[in-house]
Amino acid sequence: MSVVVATCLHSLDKLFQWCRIRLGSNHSKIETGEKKMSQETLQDFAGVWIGKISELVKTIVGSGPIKYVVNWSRMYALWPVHITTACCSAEFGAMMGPRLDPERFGMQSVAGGLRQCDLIIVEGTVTKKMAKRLKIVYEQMAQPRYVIAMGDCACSGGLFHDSYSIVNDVHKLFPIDVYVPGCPPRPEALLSAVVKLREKIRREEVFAQ
Amino acid sequence: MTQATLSREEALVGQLKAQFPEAIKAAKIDRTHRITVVFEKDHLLNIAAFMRNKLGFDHVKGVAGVDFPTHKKIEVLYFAGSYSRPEVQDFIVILKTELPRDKPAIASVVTIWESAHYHERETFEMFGVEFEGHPDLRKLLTLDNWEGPPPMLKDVKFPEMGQR
Repeated sequence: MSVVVATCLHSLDKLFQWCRIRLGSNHSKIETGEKKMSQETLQDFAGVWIGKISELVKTIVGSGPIKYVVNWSRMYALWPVHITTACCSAEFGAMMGPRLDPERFGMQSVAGGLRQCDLIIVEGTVTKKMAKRLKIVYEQMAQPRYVIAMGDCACSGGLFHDSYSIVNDVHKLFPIDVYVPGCPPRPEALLSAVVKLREKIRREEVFAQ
Repeated sequence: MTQATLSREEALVGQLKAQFPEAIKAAKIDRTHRITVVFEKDHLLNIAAFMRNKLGFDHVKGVAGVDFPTHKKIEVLYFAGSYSRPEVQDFIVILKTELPRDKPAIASVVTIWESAHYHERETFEMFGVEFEGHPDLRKLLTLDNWEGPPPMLKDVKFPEMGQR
């Protein structure tokens, strides 16, 4: 039952996202370089109106009760990417288990691909080789996307701070929302980080990113 | 532990010492099925060939390096094991030798133990030990654009990383 609800919420979120992308962009104007003049004028005209409608939708959605609905649906559909950089993934597995049950917060690893995911949990040490892959994964995800840095290594290098093969500054790869120190952090700590991230999403502007 | 349980280990050490009386400096039984042999580095190929042909140790499980900056030496360890001979299948014989730290070089055992190929490449990369006669001595694990000293030597520092 909760899977169905979470899926509905997630698709609602994606619908808002789709509307924002479709209404907010003027791709149709750019791609018609070699068409006729009348078509260009028409598309300019259409582009202006699309822009106006987009502004209207932004005003309506970005303020008032719809904003809370959007943020609420995002809060309850935090799907993490399945990417493991190091040993903190054991604690991540314990957190995803039935004892703490993050599914009550809408967090579950049911995603089919990166483009349905919302959340990266950087699980531990990021080596220089893995940093490249992590960056690729982050760029493949659709916005809005959130990052939790889990463990001392992902926060500041940790145990391998002066090593030759480790990235100390994960925050230079992408912006990080919540840091969870600990080596490794307890599953409860990670769950509290998820709760903090939900608080952040709750107060977020819809068109912030 | 009684003497009877260590009889196979003692027989093995006795065989090695009888065969190479001047090459082997020390041979110690650590515990059941574990033997450490310290030898002179020039006799490595003879000892390896004897262990493979006569004693049945047909592969190495690993080649490791240990850096001793204060003693000015690098130790190279070969962990030899056996698949083919049932009476020594549980054994691991550690062959240990010392190299000078400023120019570490030793003969490659790839012609005798083929499984040492990647392990020697890794030891070359991490400790700078030259394995003479190795067919393909390239770096193995570090980044493609890696330049610098062997990173596992203890006095190597990386100023771009944080220092404690």
